[in-house]
Formats: sequence, C-alpha cells, structure tokens
Amino acid sequence: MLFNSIDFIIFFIVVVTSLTIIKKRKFQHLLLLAASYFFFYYTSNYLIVLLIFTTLWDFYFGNIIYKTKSIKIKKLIFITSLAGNLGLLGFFKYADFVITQFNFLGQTLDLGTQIPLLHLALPIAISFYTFHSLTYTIGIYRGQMQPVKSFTEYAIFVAFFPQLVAGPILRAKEFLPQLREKMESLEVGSRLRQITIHDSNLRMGITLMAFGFLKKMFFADNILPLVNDIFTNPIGSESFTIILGAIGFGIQIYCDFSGYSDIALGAALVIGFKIPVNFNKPYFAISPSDFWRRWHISLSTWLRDYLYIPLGGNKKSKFRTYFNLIIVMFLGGLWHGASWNFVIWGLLHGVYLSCHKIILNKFTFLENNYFFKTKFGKIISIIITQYLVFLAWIAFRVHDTNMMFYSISKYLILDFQWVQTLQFIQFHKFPILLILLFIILHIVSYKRSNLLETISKLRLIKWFIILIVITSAIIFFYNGNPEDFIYFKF
Amino acid sequence: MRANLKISITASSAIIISFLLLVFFLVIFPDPTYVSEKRFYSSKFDSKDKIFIIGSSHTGNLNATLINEQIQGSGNYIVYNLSYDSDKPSKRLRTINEIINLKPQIIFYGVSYNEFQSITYDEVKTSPNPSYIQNILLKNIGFDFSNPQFVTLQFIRESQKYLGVYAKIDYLMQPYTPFFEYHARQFIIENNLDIENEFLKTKKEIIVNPPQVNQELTILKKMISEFQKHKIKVVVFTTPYHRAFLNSLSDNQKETFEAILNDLQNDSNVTIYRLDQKYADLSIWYDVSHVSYNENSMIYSEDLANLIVSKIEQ
Repeated sequence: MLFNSIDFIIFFIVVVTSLTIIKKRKFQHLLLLAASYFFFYYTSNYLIVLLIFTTLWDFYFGNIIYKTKSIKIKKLIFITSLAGNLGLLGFFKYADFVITQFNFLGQTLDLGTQIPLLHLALPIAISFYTFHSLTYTIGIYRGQMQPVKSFTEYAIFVAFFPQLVAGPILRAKEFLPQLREKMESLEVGSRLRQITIHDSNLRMGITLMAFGFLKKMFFADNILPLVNDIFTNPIGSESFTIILGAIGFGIQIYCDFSGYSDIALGAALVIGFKIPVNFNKPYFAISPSDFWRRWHISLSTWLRDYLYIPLGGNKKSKFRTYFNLIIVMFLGGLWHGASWNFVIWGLLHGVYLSCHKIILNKFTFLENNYFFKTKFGKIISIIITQYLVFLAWIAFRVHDTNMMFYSISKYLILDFQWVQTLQFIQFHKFPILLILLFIILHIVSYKRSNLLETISKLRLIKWFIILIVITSAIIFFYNGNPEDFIYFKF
Repeated sequence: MRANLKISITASSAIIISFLLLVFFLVIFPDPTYVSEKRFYSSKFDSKDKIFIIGSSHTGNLNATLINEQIQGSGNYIVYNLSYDSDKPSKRLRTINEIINLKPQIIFYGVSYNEFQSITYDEVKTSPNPSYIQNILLKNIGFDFSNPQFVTLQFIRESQKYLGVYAKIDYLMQPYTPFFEYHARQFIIENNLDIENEFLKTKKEIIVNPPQVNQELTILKKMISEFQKHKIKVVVFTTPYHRAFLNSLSDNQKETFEAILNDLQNDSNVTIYRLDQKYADLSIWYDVSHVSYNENSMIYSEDLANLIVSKIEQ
C-alpha cells in the first residue's frame, strides 16, 4: 500500500480506531499483525509468502540457536539461518543480475552458452525485512537478547506496517521490548503491552506524518519531472544542466526517502511505538563519514554493526580499515539493487570514506584545525562534501553506464555552456522554485533542530493552521500521478 | 481520551478544509482541458458518422476543417481532430471510454518517436496506479481532481500575466479540434536553415525503448484492442519529421522504431501508413517535428484526407 494514497489514510484511521476500541491486549496485538499483513498483501499479493517464510525461518532458528549449548553447533545453525535469509534475498534480487554477468562473460570468452534469465518478480521490501529479521538471530547468537515468547510478537516485529516497506531498518532488541509492558535491558517484560494512544504521541505523530507527506508529495513528486527530463537521456546536456539534475535528484531522493521515514515514524508513534530516526539533515554533513551518520542511519549503523565491525572495523591495519570501508559500501550499494550503477554508487562512497580516513591519518593536524571549526571552514567542508555526494547521486540515478559516465564527466569537467540550461530552467520554473524553497526550509530546520517538536506543541489553533497550510500545499499541487517511493524497489 | 478526540478532530478538519478549499477553487477556476473534454464528450452530435484523429501536437496541426471539406463527397462523415499537446498513449487511456461511447467509425492514430519515448524499464511502477479507492471516491464527485496542480499553476501563470509579469500569449482554437490550442508561431512557416540551426542548438537525443519493454506501446496495443472490440476500425499512421531530425537519428533509434511499428502491426492487426519521411525536405515546417498550420503547408492534411477517403471507400 502506498503511504501517499487515500487507501492508506483510510487503512490507518481504521487501524487506530480499532486499537482504541479493542481493550484486550492479545487481540490488539493480533489486530496489529493482521493489519500489517493486509498492508503488505495489498501491494505484494502472493509475495507475502516470502515474508511469512522469513518470519517462520528466523523465529525457529532463533529458538534453536538459543537452546543450543555447543558453540560449534550454535555457529553451524547460525550460518544455516543466515544462508536461508541471504539465499532468499540473493535468489529473488540478484539471480538475473548474476546470470546476465555470466552470460556476458561467456560471450566475451566465446563459450557459446547462454543461461536463460529467470525474470523473477522482485518482492517489495525484501531487503528491508531480511535485514530486520537478521538482527534477531544475530542478537540471540551474540547473546544480546533472548528469543521472544510468542510467534505473534516476532511476526509483528518483522511485518510492523509503518516501516515494513522502506524502513527504517528495525533492530529486534530495540523493538521487541516495546511489545511488552516491562522493559529491561536484555530481557523482555512479562506482560503484553496495552496499545494506548497518548495525546502527546498523537500530536507529534500526526505532525511527523504531515511533514512526511509534504516532503514526498509536494517536494519529491514535483521535482521528479525535472530530474527525469534531464536523466532519462542526459547525452547532449550541458554541465550546468547535469549539475541541476544532480541537485534536483539529491533533493528528490532525500524528500522521498526521509518523507517515507517521517510518515513511518509518525504512524508508529501514534500507536505508541518508537522506531529509530533515519535522517539528520544529511546535506549539512561536513565529511563523508559525517554524511553516513546522517543519511539512512538505520542502514549505515546496521552495516557498521553487522558487517564493518565483524570484518575488523578499524582495529586491524590501516590498509585493512580502508579495504573494510570499501567492501562495506560496495555491499551497501549492492543492497539497493542488482545493478552496476548501485555498485558504482556504493564504491564511490567507499572511496570517499577511505580517502577521508587516509587524509586524516596523514595530516592529523586537520582534525582539530581551527579553520574547520569556524563558520566559514564548516561551509567549505559542507560544499566539498556535498559536491562529492551529489556526484555519487548521478551514479545512483542514471542506470545506463554510457549515460552515467557522460553525466559524471560533465559534472566534473565544466563546459561553461548555458543556452540549453537557461531554456531548461524556463521550462521547469516550478521544480526550480521548489528546489529553492527546499534549500531555505532545510536551512531553517538545521538552525532550529527541534522544529517539529515545537510545532507539535503549539496551541491547538496554531497547529490546526499549520496543518491546513501543509495539506493545502499537498493537494493544490498534487499532479494526479502518485509516484512510488524510490526505496520501495529496494 | 478527550484530548485525543480533540486532536483527531482538529487534524481531520484540517484535511477537510483543505479539500473544500480545493473544491471551491476548482469551481471558480476549472481545468480548461477537463471543461473542454466534458463539453465535447457530452455534446449532442448530428447524425453524421464520426471519424476521430488521435495524437499529440504532431497531429494537432492537421486541419480538420480542410479534411472535412475534402471528404464531403465520400458519405455522411465528420472528422474531429482530438489531438492534445504532448499526448501519449498512457495519457489518452484516461478518456478511452468516452471515445468509445461516441461510437466513431474509424480512428486515425498518429504516432511518432515521441509517443513511444517512455520511462525506462527499471522505472516501471511497482504498485497499482491510480488507487482504486481514489478513483471511486474522487472521480464520481463531479469535479476533476485528476490534476489539481495543473489548475493551480495555470492560475498562478494567469495571475502573473494579469499583473504584467509575463507577456500574454494568445491561443486560438480551430473548428472540429476541441482540445488543441494554437499559438501564433504555429501559423508561420520557418526557414529550413533556421529550423535546422535551432534544432542543433537545443537538440536532445530521443530514447525509445525496444518493443518488449516499451510501456507506451503496450498501452497503445491495449487501447487498439479495446477499440476493435467495440467494432471501431483503427488506422495508424506515422507523423512527419523534418530532414534535420531524421538525419540526427542513429541506426539504433531507427531500428527500434521500426521494430515497434512491426510489433504493433503484427500484434494489433493494423496497417501502418508512413508519413514520417514524406515531407522531410519541403518548406512547410515551424520546427523539426511540427508542420505549420498554414495554407501553404496543407499537404499533410490533404494526404490524411485522401487516406480517410480511401478507408471510407473500403
């Protein structure tokens, strides 16, 4: 189900009302599970089978891992559970990609064999729920948590509808205790929690959702035509047009994805659940590592905790650290989709992170340099970082390699032509205005970090007026063509 | 509980008020396309058999008055040019039922490279669109909510013109062409060299996806099949291009376009009439893909009139 549809609004109202009416905790939890499965089934149809399979698989493997005493056998069972999860993800998401590469190799080496493509339907959200679910078995294997007491609770964790389709990626140890009344550090509480709707959560949740819809439907969807016009076929475009496209796409994907996250956070909060924040003004990052502390935080911390650190993190040699960064970002890129452009995007970020580390290691004085602490120094750091980030967005957006390299070359080597760019701006005044408006609002929200909280605590009448402004902006500028969230496909 | 109720009512009221504001706005400033569509599709037609020309701006410049004059001797027919600016099969699909309800005898569908220039395969949507509930709730209220943004932006543009921010561009309507607006430039025949220079300055490569992954082609085939199911004859023709445009096409682009036309011809059982290269070297253009609406460039409309006559006689 698309968040940006009337279907979702009706669904959400029905779920919240039902949770309010039903008093029995067990039924509330069952309703939440049924609602989550319905939400997923509405878009994915029979592919819900994969979600249920993953849930059953990890639920039972979690129990077996916990009960097994022998470390060797425990490890073996854990590896089997990982293989099941990653095998499913790999098969559905990467099979055709791998076959294509094999065929290409076969053609190059003149082997004369062609493996037919499988043309599998890509299950929506498989990357997200696989990663959610993995945190459970990994948590138990590492002794950080105990298995849940009932299957329903585990199924709710994997399928929790606000974040099911495009995150934020939940961690079992953070979410599962919220289903129980008593929260303890490692153990889950004894009684199921009553799902109640608190007025402060309700206000903050609605505010978050409203801003999420605004980001997605007002900004992202209306900037999209400009980006598509440039990147559907960038060959022949001037440097400034490409730069405009990169900026447009950077803003579009931020508004799209952080808008989704805001709606997810808000919807969860309304029914009393806290899920992790996914964005923290990434376009104010002052270095590549700072960017990854602000962008898709739930994925970057997942990769850090479950991949980078197990690989040795920065505890081994310097060379190994750089290698780890590149390999983690390479896999992070591949996680987004079976396509070379995502691999290139991931590798670019891996190279950025490694180069940043190399520079800091070589020139240690830079880290505490006075210049970079000043306002001007920070602005310079932001501009350099964002120049690189937006360069990488081109690789993310443009799938055709010829077009991608053309665009990247135009971005890096300016041609100082502007005839086409001016015409383009003339033709796309509205998206350009939105880009400017976004930049202004982004700066305002950066300066006032608790803006949403402040708005949610305003007097009811002021809050009401702000909601009218937001909803009017959305519906008056709705173009009749609700776009999928970009991260839906991942 | 009381506080929750208050908050819920406030939030719901905000949505309802915004929605009512939009309804109020649409009543005062309705979408001109919607109004002209509604007017045309609900108007009373005389007893003549209808023939529709469908397409984008590439067919918009076909002179329906002239065509009607030319087919006069061939029976009791009347031709309407239902072209829209930037039309594509995916856009046209919106009014397919209205077209079928008018029971035209023949539909002449003009296609070009632009019609098949669709979003790339990897960007194909994953979810159904538009939403089923949205359709039921909004479409039957009696207002067109399909694109409020268009009306809002149009309103803003009009206000700016009124305030003198932009020069006002006058659009003209032509008989038997209810949805296509003509601006002054379209009536002028430009010099071929100027057209070529202008094209080379602003040229962007056209990407047409192959038939297997071309969404627009799939939609067009679906529409044609729907027309045929209702016993409406469909004739497809390619719209003309200037030599400068044709020369700019790569072999790959040409092959893809041919593959699309073959696919369409075979799958939909339609004959395709080729006009894409016919006038390439004539002086009848106002840009590389649009024939002028001028008395000296009526060859395109005359040829189509002849094609219509031949089809009527069949």
